[in-house]
Amino acid sequence: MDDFEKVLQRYRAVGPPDDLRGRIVALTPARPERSLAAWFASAAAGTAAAILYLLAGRIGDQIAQRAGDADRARAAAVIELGDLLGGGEAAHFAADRVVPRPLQGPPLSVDVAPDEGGGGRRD
Amino acid sequence: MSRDERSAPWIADLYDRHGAALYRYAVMLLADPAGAADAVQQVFVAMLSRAAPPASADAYLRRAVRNACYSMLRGQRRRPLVDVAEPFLELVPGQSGAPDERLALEQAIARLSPEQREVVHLHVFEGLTFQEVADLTRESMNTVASRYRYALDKLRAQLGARI
Repeated sequence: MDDFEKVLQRYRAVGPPDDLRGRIVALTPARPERSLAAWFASAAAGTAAAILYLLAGRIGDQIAQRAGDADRARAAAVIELGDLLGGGEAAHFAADRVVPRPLQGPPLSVDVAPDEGGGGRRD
Repeated sequence: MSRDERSAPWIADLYDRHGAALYRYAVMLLADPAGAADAVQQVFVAMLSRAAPPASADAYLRRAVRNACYSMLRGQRRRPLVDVAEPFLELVPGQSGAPDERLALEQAIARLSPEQREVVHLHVFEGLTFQEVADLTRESMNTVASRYRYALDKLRAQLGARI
């Protein structure tokens, strides 16, 4: 190594500016910071949603059960009345018109509508 | 919680371990501190697409900074050469030099080719052997050694008796 190289070795390239590290770190996508309260709020909302879901399911089952009971009772009443009126399609059709339907219930499971002329049971 | 902890933690850690050396390397390649900051920042921004730091971070980052600098230099070739705007050399702590020595050396180094500045930096300032420089730059050791010799001849010719 000659004298000139020794002079060179007294120097070095300058270091980075102080703000470079901050600029680079600032460019990294930060994960959103969530407070403890926010985590509790989320957990509470989730629990409430689960409870509501379970309650809605139970209420739905009860409504379906009640609707099914009413439907079966009405079908029995229509058949019994139709038989009292003499039986036959016309008697059962008349009975179906007379016996009141349960509110928002499903259609009767017993088909009492005439096959000809009407094209289907009339409600 | 500080921003460092919330950000990809390895980016800050990687910068702490390699940032200064990468910046000094870029400064000598470009002879431009502002451009060096842009090159280093560009490399770290590109790192953000990774889920984890590269296995051989030092070699990987050096290559990335080198590529970024040469890419910037290719873009500068269309522009006229300008004087050194900001100082890019400093005395090593504990060393002393004449007041105008740094400036003269800086101007002479700025007139070297980027490849010559690179080999001067790696061999003189970082203390790498010619073989290590050759491995990094993917040149033959003879090319690196002759490039270094030409660089020093050019510096001596420019500086003459000033140093």
